[in-house]
Amino acid sequence: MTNFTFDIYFTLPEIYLVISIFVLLLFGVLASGSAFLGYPLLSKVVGLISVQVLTFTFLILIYFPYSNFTSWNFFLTSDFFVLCSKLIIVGSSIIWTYFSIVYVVNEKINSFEYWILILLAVLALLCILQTYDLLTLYLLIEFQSLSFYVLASFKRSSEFSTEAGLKYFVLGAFASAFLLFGSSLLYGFTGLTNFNDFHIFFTGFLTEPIPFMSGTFLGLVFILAALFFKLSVSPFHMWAPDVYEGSPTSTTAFFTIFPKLAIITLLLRIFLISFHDLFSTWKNLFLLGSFLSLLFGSLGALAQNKWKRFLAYSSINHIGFILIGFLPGETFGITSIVIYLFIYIVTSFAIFSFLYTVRLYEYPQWSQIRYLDEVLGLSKTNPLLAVSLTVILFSMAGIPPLSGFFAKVFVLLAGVRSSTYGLVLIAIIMSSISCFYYIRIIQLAYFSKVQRWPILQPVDKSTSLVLGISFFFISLLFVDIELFYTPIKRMALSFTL
Amino acid sequence: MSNMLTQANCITISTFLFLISILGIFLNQKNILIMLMSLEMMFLSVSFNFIFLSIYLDDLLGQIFALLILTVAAAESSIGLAILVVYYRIRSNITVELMSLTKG
Repeated sequence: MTNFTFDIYFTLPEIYLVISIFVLLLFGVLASGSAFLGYPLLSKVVGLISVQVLTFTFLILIYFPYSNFTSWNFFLTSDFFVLCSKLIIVGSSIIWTYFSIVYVVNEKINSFEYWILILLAVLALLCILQTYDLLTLYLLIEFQSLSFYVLASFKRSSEFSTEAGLKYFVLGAFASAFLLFGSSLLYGFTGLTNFNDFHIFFTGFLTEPIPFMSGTFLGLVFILAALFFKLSVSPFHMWAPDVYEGSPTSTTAFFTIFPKLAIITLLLRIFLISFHDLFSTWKNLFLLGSFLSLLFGSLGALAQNKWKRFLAYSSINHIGFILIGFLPGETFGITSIVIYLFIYIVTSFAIFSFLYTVRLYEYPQWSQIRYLDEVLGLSKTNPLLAVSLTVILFSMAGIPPLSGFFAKVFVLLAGVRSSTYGLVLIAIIMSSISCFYYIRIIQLAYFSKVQRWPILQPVDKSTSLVLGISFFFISLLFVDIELFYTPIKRMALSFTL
Repeated sequence: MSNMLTQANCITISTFLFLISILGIFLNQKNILIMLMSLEMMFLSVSFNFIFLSIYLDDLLGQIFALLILTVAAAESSIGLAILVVYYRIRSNITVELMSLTKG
């Protein structure tokens, strides 16, 4: 399908999002610089309009006629998996934008450009789900990364934020250069850049040690290293705790929730479709990445006493679990990965809405919670919040019958099915080690003696809505898991082209 | 004709440039600007790689790729320099060793 009309028709949601970003940016610049209106503060206004823009994008996606296609001269692809993933990302971004408006107003992030950057990052993530060529891969990863660098360093008067942004920039650009180098090696040895071309080219090749296969595999290893970096898989996880801690908390929530689904789809498309013939070789790389992530994620989180660094190491641990799902190389593995990601997204919403709500009063201002110890006495000051924190942390630890347990069960079943029993055993051992530090927080909230009682700010409506709905999802998923398992299995079965 | 230009020669040149720029990032003990320059050099070496390979393979795609890399690298440098300026306004130095606020 190289007809231009089809291209526009099939990428209509992204085109709508681009045009509305431009209109919103124009409105923001013209309105906030006009003396007639009195130089208004447009942060909350543009935030609410961006919720509306994302809702309309969601509606366009729902009423979209579904078909398999490749558009824009074989650069972008789409199937049912991509449609559902786009729905998940746009739906999550609506929820994220809605409940971050409160945080932005409280922390006095007064520029409207924050929301424009968020919309641009969502657009980049939507397009990354569809990418089908090495050129598109690089351009879209750079698009997403550039938005993220600025988002991380957005609070210009904070030392933490600017340092986090600078560190993220240097290491992220380094990873993008690795991605490029790998692409150039792949292009040089085969002359192809489209994933479909690689899929057709690599059928029937044995992995003999001839220079051609070694060169292609070297290019593939560089690309894998770059994508592992963006995903914060060990041994490339060094940037994640620093950047997650330094950024403003709403940006940390965005980093935790959104890029994982897009880049995992990318990894699935490159390694399970294009280079499936080299399966026996790259399977060991995923095994190594998963093992190191589980190890460093669990052991790193043991030593933390700040909330955001703790959540960064916890997400490294979760990524280690997700990488086990790559090992079967078949539909069951893809199903387990997507279920784990879905439950991980909901749990992240829950824990970050908890972080937004707990605000302590040190004279003369309210400030957000920073250290793990600051939940002391939460069971007496706000018992409902303590109960929800308990359930969320138990779900992250993987305790039945909460939803985190089901996520881990499916991924470990995928590991057993591919006969990697050692890795499954290590995953279970690391899971029990991680139980310790999750339960330690609950012990702090319930069973410790309090020197000074903290004063908590009353919870805002939007944050409590998100916290409540995700709490009920986490605790009641066991009632009807087939409700989510069946569409996700259909997604994985249609992961073709 | 034993001294013809082969594919291995093309890749060797740009790989050397790439490795030199990686060394530039890691052996730097003074300031961040050296890091930014080394990053630019990494992108440039990969562009060279694409152009040499496109000439060897007689294919246009490599040169288009290199042109787009140059554009994106320019945008990325400008964002990096903007973040560096904002950082400098607060900290008044750009020494690498002193960036240890978020440490652990």
